[in-house]
Amino acid sequence: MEELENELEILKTNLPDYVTALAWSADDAMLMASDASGNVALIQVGTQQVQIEKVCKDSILTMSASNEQNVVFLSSQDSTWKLLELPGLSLIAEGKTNAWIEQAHWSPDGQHLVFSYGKTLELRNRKGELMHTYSEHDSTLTGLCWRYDSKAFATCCYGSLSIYEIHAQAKRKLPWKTSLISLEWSPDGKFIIAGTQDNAVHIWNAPFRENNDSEMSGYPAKVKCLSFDSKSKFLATNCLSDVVLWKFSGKPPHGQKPVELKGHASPIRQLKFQPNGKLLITGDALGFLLFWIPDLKRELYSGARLKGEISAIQWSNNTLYVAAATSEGEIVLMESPE
Amino acid sequence: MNVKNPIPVTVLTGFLGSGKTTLLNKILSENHGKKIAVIENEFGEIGVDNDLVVQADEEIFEMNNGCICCTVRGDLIRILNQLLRRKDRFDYILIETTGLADPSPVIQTFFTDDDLREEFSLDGIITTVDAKHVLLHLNSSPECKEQIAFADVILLNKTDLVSASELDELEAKIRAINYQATVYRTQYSQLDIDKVIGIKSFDLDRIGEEQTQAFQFKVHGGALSPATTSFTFKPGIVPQHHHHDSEVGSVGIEMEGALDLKKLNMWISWLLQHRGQDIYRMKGIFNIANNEERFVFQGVHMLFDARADRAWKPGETRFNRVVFIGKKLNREELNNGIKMCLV
Repeated sequence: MEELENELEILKTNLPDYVTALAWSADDAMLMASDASGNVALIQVGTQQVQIEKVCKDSILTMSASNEQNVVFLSSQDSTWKLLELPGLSLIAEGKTNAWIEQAHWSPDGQHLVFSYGKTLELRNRKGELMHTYSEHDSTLTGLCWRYDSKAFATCCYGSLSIYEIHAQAKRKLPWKTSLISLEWSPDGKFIIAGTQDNAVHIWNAPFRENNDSEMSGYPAKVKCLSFDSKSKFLATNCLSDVVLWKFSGKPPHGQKPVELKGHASPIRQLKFQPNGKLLITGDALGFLLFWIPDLKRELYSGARLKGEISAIQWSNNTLYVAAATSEGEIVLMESPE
Repeated sequence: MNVKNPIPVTVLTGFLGSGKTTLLNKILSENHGKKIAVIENEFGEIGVDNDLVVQADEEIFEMNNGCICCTVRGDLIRILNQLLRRKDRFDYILIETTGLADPSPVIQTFFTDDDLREEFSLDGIITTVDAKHVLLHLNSSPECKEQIAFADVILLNKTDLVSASELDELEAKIRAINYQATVYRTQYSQLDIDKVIGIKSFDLDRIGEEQTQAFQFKVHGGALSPATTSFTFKPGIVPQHHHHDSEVGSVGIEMEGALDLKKLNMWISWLLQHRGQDIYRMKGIFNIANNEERFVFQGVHMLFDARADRAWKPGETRFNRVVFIGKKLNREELNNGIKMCLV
């Protein structure tokens, strides 16, 4: 294992409160960090200038930046949302809902934004204009992800997975009676994965229909973190302080023993594969960051140790940088080691 | 990792119009210096300046294929985890349930969710009762009985609207359901708030004079495994002739003699598997053979926590004292069960 903390680090800075999310501008020139007091830190990667703006009255719950245009969506604990233009955070659109917006994601092509509050979903265009409202869910939505081609997205809640084709406005509901708490769509579009409150990973295989699914159980705790590598070969999941890695080869990993990556000494809080790359970064409750190349089945680099538990990790779109942040408000910007 | 003190949680239950919101407002308006978050399921006229009020839809989730002890409140798991995401955390959480809520999923949420068990400690279940109208609900509503049965503290409210003899009769009916709860007769929910918050009803340490080595069990579907623990017990007069069939009620058992731990373990496992659905709460102290410490326990449905408490004092009469609250409780069966465990 190589110690690369100082070599990789470009910048360390702080927000006053718990960092709730990290996001990159479409051109990767700016890193944004939001906190539980309604602040947003705007970090210029080139000049390393940091500007902190009070953007919301209450805690910022979600922050999602478009990959294609320099805009960012924020939702707050006062149930308001804002669509802001970068770099100046000028207001494009705003609104108020009747519950917390806890899930928000731009489509990969940047043309649509979908967010959920309670049992309701809203699909909006790039200007923030409402295109469709979906409010037929059984319970509060707990996960949301887009398909690679931006033509469909999936949601999960207690009791079901739903898939929406946005142009046809068609919905497919796949019941599964447990509490689904995290969601990921493989980059090749073949698998939708949910982590469950019942300590398992549930897998739906394309074509997505009933009885075309399976479950990986045996986890000792809830599965909150899911991440596929860019080739849909590996699915990384949290398993207390280990990473459990399932190998997919165009089909679900039935009957296989997963690879366990051991290196953390406390529960993993965040994990994320490099987009278009092979690196995995993981962050734990003690503030440690580790980099891995799953094929090597071992920890590759020790990234850094931050103050507080790792609360957010985000790779830049060009995969050259990665940022991490903590419950104590610390933010680190690093170069990618590969 | 920072060592953080668990945030106490009080659950307020009671039928619509029984004074829940009045009590909530009283707690919030007191000069206690606490930063409180309120999670409420009904729109109430809550006046708060520095506190946070979160509206929640009651979402009952069945976990582990519908095991009754794993029925939890999904909305609470989500909201409470969200409230932890701040440096300056809340000092106290109040959960106001709907008038018709069964309290067990709320309680079980704090026993079964690993994250919440680490970060929060259940302080007590407070039930407000409308003295004027409760008899209308008591016979017809299972939820009304459950709210009384689960309570640690009962506020018998609106006492000015009924006569003294009616109050006595009503209190007797409440005590027949749950005789271990503390009952306060109140008007407009007026009482010292330290009687309802910070009461540590689920805290085993409250009765333990000294911390002792734990034997801790969590019984879940019959399997014994390590778990955290909590318990409260109010010594008092134990009614001797309660035999409720389909009724919700209490059974108190007091017995001298030492119990065989192995036999007791087997009996409790059997009891929870076969009767856990009907046992709302149980608490007690056992005298275990060849053990110098008292053995204290509590349970909610099939969830059971226990551990060794302080040592028996020299000359102290060693006893077994157990309180069961639930429905269809068979006093004879419970009594015989414990008797069979005697050495």
